[in-house]
Amino acid sequence: MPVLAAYIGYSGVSVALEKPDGSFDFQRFPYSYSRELFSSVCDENGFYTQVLEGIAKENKAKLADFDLLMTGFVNFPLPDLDIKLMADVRDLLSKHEENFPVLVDEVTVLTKDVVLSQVPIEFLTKNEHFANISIYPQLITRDYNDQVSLDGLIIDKVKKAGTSLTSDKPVLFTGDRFARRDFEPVFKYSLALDLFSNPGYYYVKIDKNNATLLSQLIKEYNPNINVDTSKVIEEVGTFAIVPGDTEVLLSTVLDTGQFFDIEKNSVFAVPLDNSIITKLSVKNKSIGNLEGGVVGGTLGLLFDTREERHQLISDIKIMNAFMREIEEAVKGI
Amino acid sequence: MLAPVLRKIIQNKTVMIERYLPSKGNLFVQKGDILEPFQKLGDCMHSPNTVYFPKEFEPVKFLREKVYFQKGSLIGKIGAKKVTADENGYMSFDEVSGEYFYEDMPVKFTLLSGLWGEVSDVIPESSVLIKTVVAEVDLVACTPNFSFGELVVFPNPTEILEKFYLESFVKSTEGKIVYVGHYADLDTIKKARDLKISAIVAGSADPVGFSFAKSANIGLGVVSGFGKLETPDFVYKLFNSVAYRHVFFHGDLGVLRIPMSGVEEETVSSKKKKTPLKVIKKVTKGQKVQVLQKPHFGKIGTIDRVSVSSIFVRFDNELGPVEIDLPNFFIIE
Repeated sequence: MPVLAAYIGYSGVSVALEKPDGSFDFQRFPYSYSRELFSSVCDENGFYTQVLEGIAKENKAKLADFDLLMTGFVNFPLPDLDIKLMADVRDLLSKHEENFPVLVDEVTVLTKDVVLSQVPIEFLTKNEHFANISIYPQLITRDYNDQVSLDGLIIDKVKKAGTSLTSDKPVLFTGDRFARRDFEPVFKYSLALDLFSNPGYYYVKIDKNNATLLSQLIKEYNPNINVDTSKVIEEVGTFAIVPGDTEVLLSTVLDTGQFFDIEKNSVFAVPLDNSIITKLSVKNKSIGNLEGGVVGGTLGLLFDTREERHQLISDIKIMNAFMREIEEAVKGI
Repeated sequence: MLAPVLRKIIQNKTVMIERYLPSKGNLFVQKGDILEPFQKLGDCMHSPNTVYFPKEFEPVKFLREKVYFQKGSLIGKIGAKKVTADENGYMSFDEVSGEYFYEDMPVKFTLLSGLWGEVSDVIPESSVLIKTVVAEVDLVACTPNFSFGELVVFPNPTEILEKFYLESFVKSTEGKIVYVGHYADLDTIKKARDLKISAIVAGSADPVGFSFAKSANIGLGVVSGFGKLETPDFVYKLFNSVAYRHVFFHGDLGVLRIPMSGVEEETVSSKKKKTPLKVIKKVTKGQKVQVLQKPHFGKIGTIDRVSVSSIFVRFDNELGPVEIDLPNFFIIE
């Protein structure tokens, strides 16, 4: 029987559906259960049963035709759903070997080692948008200030907890914050950048489909099923967190190289393909001299020379420059 | 494209409502009796006000039994401050809490049914459980209070009129549930508290006012959300049609229950009542939607066309359709 794996997140439901040819299609229903809105009509069990039945129907199938697997943040039991495997989100993250996954949504930041819960949004009632999000968790804001405040909550929480995202593996951002459609795609990148606090080089990926959790869930159910996530996980590129003035030499086997200075307190992107390893030499006071190979991605190679790591999108001057630089790179994503 | 369906009003919902005497008394109905709103269920003697004094209260004389005082007479002191009787009544000593308390002269309290229905159970001398049919109005945000009383409906639109009406109703709003219009600001909520209004219902509320209502234990429920949002027309029409009816504000359930007569119930076919309500539907042209995107936040419009990840909505007062992103809307039924 084909598999339908579902992740119930803070603001929506992400699913991986097995197609007749054995490949998987990743889809998202961008709404979640809100007690305030639906409790007089149905509970979580009724809501998610109808959501998954609706998704199956949209794909011209019946839910009963699938082996249903589930993970996420939901109150159990869900007696109307015949779930073959239910797995804990943190278990799935810790079993993922390829990358260092960081799950971020509006109320939680989760890695293999850390679970951080934010102040629940409903308590921050002075802000109209926050107050409305506590009722309508799926809302996308078109207001720049609201976005700054929302992402600021996540960044503050990580910083106050003294949590440093460091790993030799690529850092993969997943969860509903990254699955939501922002009105400016650049917000996801700036949030990802702000979540790093330690100087260093990090290869970054963004999973907008919660595909990491879903593929791991499927692997738990049947290790023989191979889920290809390469097309749905975005290879963002290398983030170089190098506080202060920085000198850079980049060269590939195809060219003679280019040398440039980056002033302190700026964010600078160099377009770089992820198919070729580029030789990088960096001189920087805080991290010293470094030589090595890096690969790029959607944003290429991103240098962040800020000495004080305030929230990037709250600093209009740097953010404007950042947006201009990556505008071309993110076009069409 | 799929989206959830919001039902602002659930018609003809069968519920059990308990009507109880404030003190032990006599009940005149029995199981199986059919009730009308003005039918007497029972009566008892009840003191409308009871005031407990702090431990430092010193009575005019040492009391252990109920003592009668006339209005205006000195009953004791708190420090240097003299305490007089506000009304004719009795002072007693509570052996359990070790505090003196003053009860206004008991008056006869008559409990009316307030709704159409059938007596399902009777707890002698105390309460009556009634099976009844209600229209349930969904309140998306509510303080967790429970209250019941006559529904007073102020006209939309609000602002200046709102305060004028509150002032005009000074003598008659006590203990009532008042629909104050599209928007309840902090001043209106404070005024409502001063007027001893049992609960306020509005299209929307100021988040700060909502926090105040919560802390001051005032019933407050909003139909659309936070910020200056409108009450949908069909909800306002319902309120208007049932003004001065006895209604039940269930803050814990997030609903306002409006008792309906048997005649109103018959307007819906029995077949429709048994069908489970759908919470997810395919988005199609012509559906009514509530939009949650500025500057149309909270407004209800009609879908003009459906795009891949957005819809185009027509509002009554707009020239052309407006693009609304998925998921910033709900289907309304």
